[in-house]
Amino acid sequence: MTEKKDNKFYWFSGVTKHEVLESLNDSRPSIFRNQFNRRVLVLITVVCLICFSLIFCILQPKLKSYAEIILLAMILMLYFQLRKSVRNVADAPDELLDERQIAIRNTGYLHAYRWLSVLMMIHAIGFIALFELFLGNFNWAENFKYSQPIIAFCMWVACLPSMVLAWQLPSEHSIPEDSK
Amino acid sequence: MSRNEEIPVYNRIAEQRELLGMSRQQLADSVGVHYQTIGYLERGEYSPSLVLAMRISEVLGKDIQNLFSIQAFAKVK
Repeated sequence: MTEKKDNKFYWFSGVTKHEVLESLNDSRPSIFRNQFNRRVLVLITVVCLICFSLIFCILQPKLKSYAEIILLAMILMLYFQLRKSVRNVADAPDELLDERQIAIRNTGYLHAYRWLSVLMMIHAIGFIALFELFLGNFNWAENFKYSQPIIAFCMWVACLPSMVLAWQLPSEHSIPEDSK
Repeated sequence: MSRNEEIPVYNRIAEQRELLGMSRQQLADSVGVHYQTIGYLERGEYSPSLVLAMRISEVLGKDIQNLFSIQAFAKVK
């Protein structure tokens, strides 16, 4: 009961205290301790997110729905894996991290914000080009579902900090070497 | 990931820690950081804040200037 009470949930970070502490102190070997594997995970996530962002191009409704569900499930799975691969540092609150981890996280967020501005610009230019240049006018927008690109953008926002950290962090030194 | 990429901070943490028979985990617990941070510090991959440097000096029982320097320490044989 006390343990459950101690397990604080950080609403703004979307993590629990135990989840972060367990992840930070996890000494089990994992393929994601290696930078190359983490980068592969990031690239797979990027591909899925790009596909999800472009899903509105599919005209057949049934195929579009299936693709949406499959990709969204994959992205959610990759999102949680990415968080785990960086030991939840990207989402953890300050009080659970030390100064080096806070510095790493802050640098990660700076880069994530820069990438987010690039993505926002690509999204905006892409949509303006699509509506203005190729379709001639904005009337086509009446039949366009806005929810899907908005969900895609939200997924980019959620995944980017962990993606940046997973890409940047060097391979971890072996656990016995670091803790002895 | 260092605070200042151009001026590295050299330290004798590993040497002093081993002299006291402490593990990285024990030192990390004493100063309130993750054990990996001690590894990063010892390898010179991270420069500590003044507060952390002072805490480490206190735990290792050394003056801060004997433990940290911006000039490389002479190797002890």
